Amino acid sequence: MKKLLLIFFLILALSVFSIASTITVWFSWEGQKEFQSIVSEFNQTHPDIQVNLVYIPKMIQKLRIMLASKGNFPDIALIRNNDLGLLADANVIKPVSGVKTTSVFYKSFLIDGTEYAYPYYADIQVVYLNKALFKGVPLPKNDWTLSDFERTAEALKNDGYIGVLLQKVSPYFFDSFNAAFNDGMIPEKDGVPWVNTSGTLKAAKLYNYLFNERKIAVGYAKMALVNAFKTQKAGMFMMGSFLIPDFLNLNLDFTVLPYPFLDNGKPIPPVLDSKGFVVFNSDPNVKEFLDYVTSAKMEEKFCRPTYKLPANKKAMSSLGKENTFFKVMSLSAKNALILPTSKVFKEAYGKAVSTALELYLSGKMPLEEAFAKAQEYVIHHK
Amino acid sequence: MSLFFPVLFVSAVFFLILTARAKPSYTFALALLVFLVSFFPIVWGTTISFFDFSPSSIQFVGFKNLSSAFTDPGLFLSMKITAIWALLVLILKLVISYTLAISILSLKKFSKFLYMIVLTPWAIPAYISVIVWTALISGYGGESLLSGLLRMNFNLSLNIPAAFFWTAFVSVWLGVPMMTMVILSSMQTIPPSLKDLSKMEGLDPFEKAMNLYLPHTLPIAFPYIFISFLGSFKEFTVFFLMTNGGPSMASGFGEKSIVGATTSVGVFIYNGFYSTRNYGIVAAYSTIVGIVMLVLITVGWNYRFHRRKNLLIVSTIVAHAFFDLWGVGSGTFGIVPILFYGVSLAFFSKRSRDFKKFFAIGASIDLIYMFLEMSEYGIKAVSLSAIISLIVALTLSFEGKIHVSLFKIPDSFWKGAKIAWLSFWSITVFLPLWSVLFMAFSKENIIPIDSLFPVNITLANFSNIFYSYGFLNALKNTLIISAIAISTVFLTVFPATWAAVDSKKAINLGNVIVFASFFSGMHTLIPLAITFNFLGLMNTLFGIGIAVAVHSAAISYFLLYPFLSSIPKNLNEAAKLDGASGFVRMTRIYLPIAVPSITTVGVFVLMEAWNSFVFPLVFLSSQHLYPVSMMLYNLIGEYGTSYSQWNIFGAGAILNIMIVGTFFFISRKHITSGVISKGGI
Repeated sequence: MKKLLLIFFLILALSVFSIASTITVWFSWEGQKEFQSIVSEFNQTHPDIQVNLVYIPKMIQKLRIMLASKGNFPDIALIRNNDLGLLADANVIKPVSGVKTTSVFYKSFLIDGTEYAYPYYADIQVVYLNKALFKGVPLPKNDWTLSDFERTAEALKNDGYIGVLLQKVSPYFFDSFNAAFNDGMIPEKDGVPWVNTSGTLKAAKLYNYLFNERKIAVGYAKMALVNAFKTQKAGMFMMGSFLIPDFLNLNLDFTVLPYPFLDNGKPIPPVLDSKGFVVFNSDPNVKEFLDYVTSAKMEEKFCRPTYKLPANKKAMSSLGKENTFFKVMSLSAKNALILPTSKVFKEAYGKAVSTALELYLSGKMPLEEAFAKAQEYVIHHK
Repeated sequence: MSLFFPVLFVSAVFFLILTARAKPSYTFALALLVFLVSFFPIVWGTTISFFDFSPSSIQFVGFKNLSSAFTDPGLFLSMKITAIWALLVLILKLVISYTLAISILSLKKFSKFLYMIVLTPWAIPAYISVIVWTALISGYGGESLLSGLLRMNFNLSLNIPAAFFWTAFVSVWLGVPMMTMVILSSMQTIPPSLKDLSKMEGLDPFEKAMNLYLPHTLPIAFPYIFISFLGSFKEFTVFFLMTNGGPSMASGFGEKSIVGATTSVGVFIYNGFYSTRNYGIVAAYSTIVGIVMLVLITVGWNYRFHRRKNLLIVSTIVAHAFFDLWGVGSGTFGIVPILFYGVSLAFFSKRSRDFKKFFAIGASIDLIYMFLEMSEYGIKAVSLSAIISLIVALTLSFEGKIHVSLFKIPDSFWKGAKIAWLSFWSITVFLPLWSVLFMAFSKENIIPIDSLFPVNITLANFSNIFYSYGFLNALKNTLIISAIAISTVFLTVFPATWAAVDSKKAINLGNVIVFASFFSGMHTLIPLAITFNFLGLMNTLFGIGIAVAVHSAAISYFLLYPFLSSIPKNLNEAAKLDGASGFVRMTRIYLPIAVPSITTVGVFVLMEAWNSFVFPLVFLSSQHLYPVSMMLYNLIGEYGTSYSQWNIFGAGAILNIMIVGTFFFISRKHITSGVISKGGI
C-alpha cells in the first residue's frame, strides 16, 4: 500500500511539475537580489507557475534587437517609461487594465488614453546634502527656493568645497529646469518637442549662470560625481534617489531635499524615472504574477531596501511615512515631471538638447544658434 | 520576412559555389559557417538598404536611403575623424611596438619576462581596461592622478585634443601586444648573416631599425598592419566607453546627424541604430562604410605583390579619385597629387627607380595641402585620400634606402633609453591592473581612485562574487563557449587552410573571410539574430561558441596559412606520389608539425571567447547561461544610468584576469614561437 501511495504521489508531483507553465521575466536596473527573492517566494507559493527571471544589463538595446530581428520576446519586461513608445508603436506589447496606482504613475505609462504597463517603482531626482560640510552654513528646508539654493552653494564654495554637483549636459537633469520655465512640462507642438522656446533658453541661461558665471556648480562624469560627494568634496549633489542605499551603507552623514522652488513659487519639477512591467503575452498566469509583485506587501519588500518609490498606493503611503528619505521622495513625487513617451522624444530630443547645451556652455556656439540647430535636428527626426 | 528566405537561399548558393568549389570536403564546413555568421548578414544589410524597413513594415525605396547616407555631411565628418584617428593609432602602435620589439630582442636577460608583460593587456577584457583607463585619465572633470603627474587637464567630455589623443592611446595600449608579437615573429625571418653584418658595421640601434628591422619586417608584417589600420576604422568600444563620441563640435551639429570629436564611423552607425526605427537607413550607412572599406582593402591587397607596384599605384590613384569626388578627399586639388602618382606609374613601367620619388612628391603635396586646409577649416579638412597616399609612400620609402644617423650617439645612451622605455611601458601595463586591484580590495564602492591603497581593505568582495553572483556557473558557461569555439575553429579553419596550401584555388575562402570580417558590426547583428532564430541557435551556448569561432576565423586563418605554407612542399608531394590521400597528408604530415601554430590559434580563440560580450548580450536570454563577461557587465549595469558595483566588479575582474593569465602563462612558449614562421603572416 505504501509503495502504491508513493508511486501515486510521485506521479502527482511529476504531473504538477509537467503542467506548470513558465513565465519569462526580463529585469534590469537596481534591486536584482531583492527581486530575485520575491520571484523565489512566488515560485514556492505558486507551484503551477514557474518564473524564469533574466537580468538584462542593457534592456533597451536588447529589446531593439529583438524588435529588429523579430526575435522572441519574454512574457514580461521591466522598462523605463520613455521607452514605451517604441514597443507600443511596434504593436508587440499588450494594453493592461485594472492597474491600481497613483495618477502620476498611471500617466507615466499612458499612450493615447491606453495604459501599457504595470507601474512598479520610480526613482526621483533629489538634492543630496553632505551634512558634515554644513557647519557654518545653515541647512536648507524642504520649501527652499532657487535663491536659497544659490546662496547655500555660494557659502559652501566659500568654505572651500564644491557648491553643487550636477551632470552638466545631461538632458535628464536639464529637463527639470526646462520644464520649470515652461509651465511644468516639456514644451511640444503637434507631439514634437520644442527646444528653442524662451523658457528653454532661460533654463540654459540659468545653467550658464550656475556653471560659468558664479561657478557654484560643477559637472563631472557620473562616476566621478558620485565619488566627489562620497569623499566630501562637495556640499550638494543633484541626482536620482537610487544612491540613497549606497550612501547609507557607507555611513555617510547626509540628507536629501526636494528640488527647490523658483523664486516665483513655481516648482522645479524633478523627473520621475518610472519603471513598469510591459506585457508581451497576456496570459492569466502573467497577470497573476504581476498582481503578486505589484501588491502592497511585495512592493514594500522591494522598495524598502532599495529606496524606490513604490507604484502601489498603499505601499507608497506606508513607506512615505517611514523615514526622511521616503518622505522627501513622496513630497518630490507630487511635483514630478513625467517625460513624454513619444518616439521623437526618445530618439532625437535628448541627443539634440545635450549637444546644444554642451556647445553653448563651452562657448563654442551662441545660445540661440545652438538651440535652433537642436530644433532642426528634432524636426528632421520626427 | 518574406524577403529573407529568398535572399538567404540565393546568396548561399552563390557563396558556396564561389568559395567551396575547390576541395569542398575541406572547405565546405568553414564556408557554410562564414556564410551564415559573416557573409549573409552583409548581403542582408545591403539588400535592406533599398527598403524602408521597420519592425512593422517593409517598402522598396530604391536608392533613396543610400543617396541620403551618401550625401550626409555628418558621415563625411565622421569618416574623416575616423581616418585621422586610425592613422594616429597606426603610427603610435607601430612606433611603440617596433621599439618594444627591438628592445626585447636586444636584451640578454629577462627578455621572456618582459615579453609576457608586454602581452599582458591582451589578457584583460577591453570592457574592463577601457573603463579603468577612463577613470585613471579623466578622474574628476579631467583632474586625476595622471593629469596631476603631467600637470594637464584631461576632461574627456570637453577637451577635444585630450579626448582624441587618449582614445587613441587606449586603443594602442590594447593593440600593442598583438602588433609586438607579429613584429617580433617577423624579425625571426631576418637572416642571421645580416644581423652579424650589422654588428660588424657597428650600426647603432636607430640605424639597425631603419636599415635592418623595418625594411625586412615591414613587407611581412604589412598585411597585419593594414588589417590593424582597417580594424581601427571599425573601432567602437573605446569610443563608446570613454567619450561616447564627444566632445561636441559646432561643425558636427547637423540636421541629419550629430558628430562629436570622437564620433567614429562605428559610433556613428550605432547612434543611427538608436535614432531611427527605419533599419533600411542604418543599413544604407553601413553599406556606404562597406564600400569605403572595400576601396581601402583594394589598396592594402595590392601591397602584397612586391614586384607589381603598378597595381598598388593604380589602386591608390583610384582610391584617391574616389574619395576626392565623393567629398572626403582633397576635392579638385586632388588632381595635382594624382598627376604625380600618374608620372610615378609611368616611371615604374619604364623600370626606373625614380617612381618612388614622384610618388613621395605627390604624397608630400597631398599632406601639405591637407595641413594648410586643416589650419583654416579644422578637422573638416582631413583628406582620406591624402592619408592613404601617405601610408603607401611611407612604406615605399623604406625599400632599398640606407639610413645613416647624423650624430653618433654613445651606446650608454641607447642602453639607458632602452631600460627607461621598457620600465615606462611596464608601468603603463600595470597602472590599470593596480586600479582593478584597488577596487577589488576596497570595502567602499569607489571609482575614480585618488589614493595609493584603499582606506578600508576587505576580502568580502571575492566571497560575494562566488556566493551572491554565481561566478562558478558563469565560469562553467565561459568554458563551454570557449571549448565550442576552439573545437569549431580547429575542425573547420585548419582543414580549410590546409586545402588552401594544397590547392591555390581554395584560398578564395580565406580572402572572403578577411573581406567579410571588416563589415561586421551592430548593423550585421540584426540579420545574424534572424538567421540564428531560424537555426534555433538563439539563447544557446552552442550559438555563442559558433559566432565567436567564425569571428575569430579571419585571424586564425592568416595565423595558420603562412605556417602551413612554410612547410616544405616536397614532403606533401612525396606523400602524394606514395598514394596518400588528402586527409592522410593533412592529419599525418601537416597536423603534427603545425601543433605550435594551432596552439597559438587556440589561445587567440580562447581570448576571444573569454572576452566576448556583444554576442552573449544580444543572443542569450537565460540568466543561467550567462558567461563571466555578462556577469561582470551586470555589475556595472546600464552604464551611466544605474548604479554600479565597482568593488564587486573589481573582484570578478581580478579572478577573470587570473584565470585568463594562467592559460596565457601555460601556453607562453607557443605564443612566443608559433605565430609566424618563415613565410611571414
